[in-house]
Amino acid sequence: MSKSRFIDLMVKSMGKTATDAELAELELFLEKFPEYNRLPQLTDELKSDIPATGPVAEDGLNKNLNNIWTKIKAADDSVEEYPEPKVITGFRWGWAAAAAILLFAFAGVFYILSKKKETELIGAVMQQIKVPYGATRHLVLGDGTKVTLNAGSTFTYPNNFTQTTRDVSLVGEGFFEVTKNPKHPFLVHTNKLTVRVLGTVFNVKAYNNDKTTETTLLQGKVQVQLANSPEKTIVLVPNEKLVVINQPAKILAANNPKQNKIEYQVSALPDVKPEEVKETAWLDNRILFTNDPFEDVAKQIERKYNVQVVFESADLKNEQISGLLDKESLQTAMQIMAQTTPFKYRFEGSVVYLARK
Amino acid sequence: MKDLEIKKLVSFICNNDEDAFNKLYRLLVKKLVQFAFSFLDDKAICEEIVNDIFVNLWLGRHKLDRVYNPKVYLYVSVKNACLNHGRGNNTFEKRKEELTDIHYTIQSPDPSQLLIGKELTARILTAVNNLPPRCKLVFKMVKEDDLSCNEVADILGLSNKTVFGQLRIALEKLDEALDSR
Repeated sequence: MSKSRFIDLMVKSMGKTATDAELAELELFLEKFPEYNRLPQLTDELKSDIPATGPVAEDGLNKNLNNIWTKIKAADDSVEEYPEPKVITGFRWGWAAAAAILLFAFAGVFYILSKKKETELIGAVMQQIKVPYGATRHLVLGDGTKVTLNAGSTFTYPNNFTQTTRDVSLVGEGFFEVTKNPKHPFLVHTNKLTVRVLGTVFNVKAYNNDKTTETTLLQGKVQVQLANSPEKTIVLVPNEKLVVINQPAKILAANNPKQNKIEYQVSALPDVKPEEVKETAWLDNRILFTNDPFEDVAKQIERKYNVQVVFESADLKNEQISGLLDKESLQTAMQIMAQTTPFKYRFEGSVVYLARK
Repeated sequence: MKDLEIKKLVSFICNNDEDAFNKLYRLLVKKLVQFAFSFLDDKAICEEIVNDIFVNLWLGRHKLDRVYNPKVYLYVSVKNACLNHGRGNNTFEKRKEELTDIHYTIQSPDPSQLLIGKELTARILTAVNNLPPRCKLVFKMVKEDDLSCNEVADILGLSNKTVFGQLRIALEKLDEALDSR
């Protein structure tokens, strides 16, 4: 065995990384060549200079321990009340409290801005308005913005706009004529998307029980931010409509995997006269539908006439129907619709049952 | 053995055992002050630093169960406290390299046991005292603080291989000095 191997073994033995086999090897080596014993002997005898005073002496040690306990008692007392005493003084608790308050404040603001379920914004009294089925409401907000709410909508807005942005939130359908104010953007929050405008006329349809959330722009310019992908904004130009699918994409993907990625769609409105735009027909208490699924039309009927529509034949839901319901009563409306589409209907209180013929 | 004892004491301290704390202090204070002395050459400050670390150890005792190796934890605490001391004058990085020299003496009651003469003794001491400071520190920590190569590496923030290499250099120098008789 070479000397280099011997030193290796010594290092391993001292550094406590030697295996049993290596230790045995070292022992054997030392037995065989006794003159090598001098090295381990020497390292044993070699000592670094140590400060001989202070804690080394026994009484100094006790004195130090006493000092330590005095310090501990002093520090411990100030944190005694807390379940887990830590090295935290009252001063730092103050910072912690401040940080916690700030954190909650930010979390609160974030929650309000992102979830749109707020009941109040800091510094402003929030108002909430619920529109019953079969009715619409007109509102003028603090900044002069005119809002028309469709049946079955819930709209939350502040009494006065004091923030840098004018935030309102909507579940349902609303038609907005926003007063122009470039310094204070107007934001409509819905579950699926946020519409950001400076001053425009647009319609937002965001009922929780609809398949889609829609934004239709009539004048000006809007910016839409999707709740699912906030990094992306969609800009609409007049007479464009944005449709966002409410259901999670995977449900659709089961039927058609290729549609997996399509979460929203922007389409131009058909070139028609303003009074024939179906997205805003509800403003005149009309329902306009062209080749729309019966199910969607039924939801509009439910809102307009304050009834519940029940499909007894499921395949009827996908039947495409067209028509215009204006001032007709529900009975007349059903009569007219049944003429073009083969289905039976019967009323039971405020429930309408529809079935295939 | 000693490591096990330290771990046991620390687990008692976790449960508010003041006696265990006193025992741990007696067991380690000397070594820790010495270790601190490798970074700062003021004994009084070294003692103060180590004592403060023990105060904090007790105040934070409920979190000690999360410490994997209490001994390494204490050494690292001492090192950091030393490097932080007087950070105003010096940058952290600069101080890191500044190790105080450790001076070695042979403390055997009868040097003749080593079968070496006065002249050789002097040569050996020159050899070991002329080792670079970091090499000497590694040598001292392994030899006197009962630390393994891996623990030294953890404490000083070096790799295992570096520690192993430094230790090897120290032993080679000693061996050379012995051989040159």
